[in-house]
Amino acid sequence: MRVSSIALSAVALVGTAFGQNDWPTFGHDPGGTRYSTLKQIDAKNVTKLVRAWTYHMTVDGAPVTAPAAPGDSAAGDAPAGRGRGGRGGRGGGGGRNSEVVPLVINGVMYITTGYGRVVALEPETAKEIWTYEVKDGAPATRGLEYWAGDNQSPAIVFFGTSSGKLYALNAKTGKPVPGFGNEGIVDMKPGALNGVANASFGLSSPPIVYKNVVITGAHVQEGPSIGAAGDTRAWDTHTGKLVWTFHSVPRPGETGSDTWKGDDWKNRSGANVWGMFTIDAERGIVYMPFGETTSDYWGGDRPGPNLFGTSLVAVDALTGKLKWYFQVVHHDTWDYDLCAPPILFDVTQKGKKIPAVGVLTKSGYVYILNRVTGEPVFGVEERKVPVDDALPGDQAWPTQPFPLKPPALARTSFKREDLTTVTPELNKFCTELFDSIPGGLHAVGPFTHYSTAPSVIFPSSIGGGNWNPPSFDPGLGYLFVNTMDFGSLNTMVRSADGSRYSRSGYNGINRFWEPESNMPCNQPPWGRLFAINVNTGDIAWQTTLGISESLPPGKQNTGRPNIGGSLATAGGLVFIGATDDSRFRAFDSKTGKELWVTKIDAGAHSAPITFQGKDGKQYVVITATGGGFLGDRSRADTIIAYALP
Amino acid sequence: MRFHKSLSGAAFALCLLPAAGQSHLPASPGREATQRICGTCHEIEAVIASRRTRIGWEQMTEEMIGRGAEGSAEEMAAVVAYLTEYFGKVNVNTAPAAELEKLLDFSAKEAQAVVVYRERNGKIKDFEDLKKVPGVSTEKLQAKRGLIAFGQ
Repeated sequence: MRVSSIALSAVALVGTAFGQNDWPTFGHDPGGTRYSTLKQIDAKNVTKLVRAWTYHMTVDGAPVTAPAAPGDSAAGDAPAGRGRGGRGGRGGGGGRNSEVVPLVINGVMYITTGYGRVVALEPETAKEIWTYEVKDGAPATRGLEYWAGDNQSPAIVFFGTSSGKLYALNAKTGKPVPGFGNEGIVDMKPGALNGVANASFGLSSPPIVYKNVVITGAHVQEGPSIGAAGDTRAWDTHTGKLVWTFHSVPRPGETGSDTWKGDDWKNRSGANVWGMFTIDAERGIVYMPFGETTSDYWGGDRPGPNLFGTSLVAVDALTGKLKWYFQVVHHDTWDYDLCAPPILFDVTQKGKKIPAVGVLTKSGYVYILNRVTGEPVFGVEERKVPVDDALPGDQAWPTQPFPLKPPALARTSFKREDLTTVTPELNKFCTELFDSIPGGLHAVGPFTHYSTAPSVIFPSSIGGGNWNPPSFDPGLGYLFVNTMDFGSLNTMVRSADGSRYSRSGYNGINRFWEPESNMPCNQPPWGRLFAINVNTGDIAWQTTLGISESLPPGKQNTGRPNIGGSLATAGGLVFIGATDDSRFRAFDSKTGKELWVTKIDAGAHSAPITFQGKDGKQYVVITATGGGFLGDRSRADTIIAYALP
Repeated sequence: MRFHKSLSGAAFALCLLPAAGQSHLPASPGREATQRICGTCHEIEAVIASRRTRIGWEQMTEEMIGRGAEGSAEEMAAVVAYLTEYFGKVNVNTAPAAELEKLLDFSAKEAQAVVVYRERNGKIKDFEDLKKVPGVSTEKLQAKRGLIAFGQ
């Protein structure tokens, strides 16, 4: 059978070409499964994990490997070993958020730091092998991509910068590769700025390599409407020459151009992949999660569904030719960017294997689609949503696509009776906040609009899900995703010239929470981890993710707002940080039971990786710097590794 | 209009905040740098949607530098000063009495009471704790709640 043989060979590919012991690309393998076959660390011994090393991005000092001291993990493990840091910063705690997901290939770890450096490390000790200082802009906060090279080119580390440069460094030496672009650097701004000379254009996430092309997204403005294009482009890995461009806002004659009126498409910004790509290496398809078109919260100058805003788009990885698209939010005015890496897996239905792609959304769902055709595997239904509360002049789209399965994985609406009662004080604050205008804050069910009255929107503009990379256990057929049950609180204000609306806060708050304690105003849960059985579309298990330490004992198990992703291993474990409670956890992948938790230096708004070192040990590594968009007040500059003693 | 709900008489009304329906960035040194540096990636209204303490704005600015915000050290300092002045919060555990007076509209006596209270009892934990400070008007505190911070 054709289908199953492809599926089998895809599995074989994951197991062999992409190294069982390494972590060669952002999502472990091109399909982004974040699944490692390593199983030295398992459900029985995970509680014995100890900190193997700590790498500081800012602090100078000799690298020291932490002495392994078993049994310290439950009570929290004191920062111990120390690697050499990068430039700048305030020393000590550090101040910059980093979301970097390290790579490990052939005994070398590669990272970007929040302090302008790209570094190669010994993965067992965090000792620096080489460092490269980026002088123009910041290297992408979520990391980099590795290409093994060939007889023309050395092995290369590719990364983008906030200033719109694409770098190719020799993976062995850390020196720019002379044959690539201009002495190892391609300026990606030309061809992307839409005539706006000072437009913001950069990369915040890693590119992805397929054969001889390196594919890049874009980090562009959120508003106003006119600015740099969010096009996806592919460059020759040898020369840096442009190979193809996919117009993320279709031009006249291109598929999707009928979703725009007149010249509204012209020089439109947004519709950008600021998150991560995924590739079906077997079929040569790249999956692109596009963010919404500009402006984020105001669509008055763009009537129509606005493709390819907030859409998953599949194109031929070598030509950029469109294969299919699926728009998750029509005429998005909620900032519900797609940004999480699409994840590839097979769904078995009635003994038949369906090649599938799953994408987690800020709007709080996982869409599971046939990755060859784009057809929903479990069905999707267009349902009516509110239109009367749209901003004056904005033509809201009357329906949105709701997946029939899995169900919503985050709170998608709010009513007064949902106000938290977790403590009397918080209930009082939140009730007064809700009742502070006659009739209460504006909230009319799923897809409530950001209006000129203070509005409570669930999920918030940061999700639901966010760029959280999910993971997948092929043995169980479980997809692991984390979300938050968290709302925005905003008022839309008219610009001085009256031409548009922008999002503002309400009384100095822009989340639906008590801003000093970061306690949400809705009833818990506030953050959750799910296992989805991809063969049925049902939730296999769910659990709160994170604790609210400042709440009274017995009430702390609320789950916490979280951004970041998970790692699944053959040891039967799901590792995850992500929460704002400065903790790193391991769950039993079969049951969802929390097996291990350790206090770490700061919130780990990143995604863990694992690899096997030259010493035969399995390591689990997580970046923990706090900060970010959750209002996490913790700060550190650390990457931390754990192993068995 | 259906959704232009009146904010008058709101329990949370704050005199320092712009009225709903207007975008407002006071003219003052630092405004130009704030608009230019922060406004390159997002509309300025989103930047000022949340109030922060000075440390909060310093951390946010530092973080944005990590994400690619570009400006000289002087410009970044001007941005922090501007945002703190007009979109700031007061940490009642560290602010000198004069600052409490100025930003929270306290009398000299009220400001002093807060300082004495925190010296005697340690860190003021939260809003309920702050209300226990003798001689400080609860109404005034309630009206200024959005400007009050208890930590960084």
